[in-house]
Amino acid sequence: MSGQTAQAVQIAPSGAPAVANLGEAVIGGPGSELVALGLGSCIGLALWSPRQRWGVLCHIVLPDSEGAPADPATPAKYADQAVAWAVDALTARGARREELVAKVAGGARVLALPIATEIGQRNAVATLAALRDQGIPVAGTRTGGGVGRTVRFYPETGRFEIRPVGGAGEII
Amino acid sequence: MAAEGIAPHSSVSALVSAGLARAEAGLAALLGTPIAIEMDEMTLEPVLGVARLAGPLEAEVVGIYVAFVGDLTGHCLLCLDGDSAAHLAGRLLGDLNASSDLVDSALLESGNITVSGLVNGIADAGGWQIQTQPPALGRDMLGALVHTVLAAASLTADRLLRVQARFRADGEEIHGTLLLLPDADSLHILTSTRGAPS
Repeated sequence: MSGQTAQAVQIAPSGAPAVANLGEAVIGGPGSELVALGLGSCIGLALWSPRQRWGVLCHIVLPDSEGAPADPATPAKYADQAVAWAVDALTARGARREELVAKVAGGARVLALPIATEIGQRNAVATLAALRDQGIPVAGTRTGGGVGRTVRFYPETGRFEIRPVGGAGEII
Repeated sequence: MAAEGIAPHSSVSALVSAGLARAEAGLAALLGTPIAIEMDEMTLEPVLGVARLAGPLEAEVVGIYVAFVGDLTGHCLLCLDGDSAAHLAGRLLGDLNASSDLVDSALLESGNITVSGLVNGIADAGGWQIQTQPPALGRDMLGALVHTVLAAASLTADRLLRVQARFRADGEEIHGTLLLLPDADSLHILTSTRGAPS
């Protein structure tokens, strides 16, 4: 995956929210706010370097690329590619792999789809498996359930806010 | 992959118009009042890029989802904002204080009539056989519902038809977004159909 980060990376300006849409990833440092709005079956994955105070937020859509080539415009479409891409994006900025920490939210079942019925659960399982394969510890998760969520990630502090629809927000 | 506009007089536009006319008639019969569904815009969009066009992603909406299989296969999602959904349910039930189960049942029925009407109208106009599956209803953020359907659609398609439509019942506007997501083969069939259907 190395060498694929430069084209796709959207670096968040300080003080302005940067939104990761479907399959996208955004990266930011101190003062930045990274956002994924209205996650349903999708996953919001925050990968953080506490030492550098830089982080990536990925909006993951599907569990497994099954060998499909990565699209530079949507490096976070698949869980396996998203995790590898996020690790590369931060290590390319000088972060050390062993200091990275992840937080994960989403993977809900908001509609009873007749196909891809457990897509949310599969997304969560695949994301956590990919993090485990990369040796990245997970500092917190809020996955599953039946309601959508918005997540906001602040790389300066590692704060990861989760707001479910119609409910109070929480921080992990 | 960029968005593509669809010409108002193209064959696919005529097919969707025929579908919307069927949806209009079905919903009017259900509500017992004249309904107008007007298509503002129809575009071919990349599946992963369309959610941001659907509206404010954190807005709480009611979504009615119907899958269809047969000569054409895919998904259709109608999202109504909260006020419009309440208005629609109130019209159907004649009771603004009905239980939430009853309201959801009314919305499911009206959404199903609309979405199935669209899909069946397209099928009849094109001479295709399509079966719609039982509808599903969700109340959530617009983004959560749209993203979930787009995720499922992205398993079999790269592009979708976005139909921006306005509904009016007795002069009152109902705000809704309609996404028609045929799979890749079905989209090819739809967009390569020659001649406007009768």
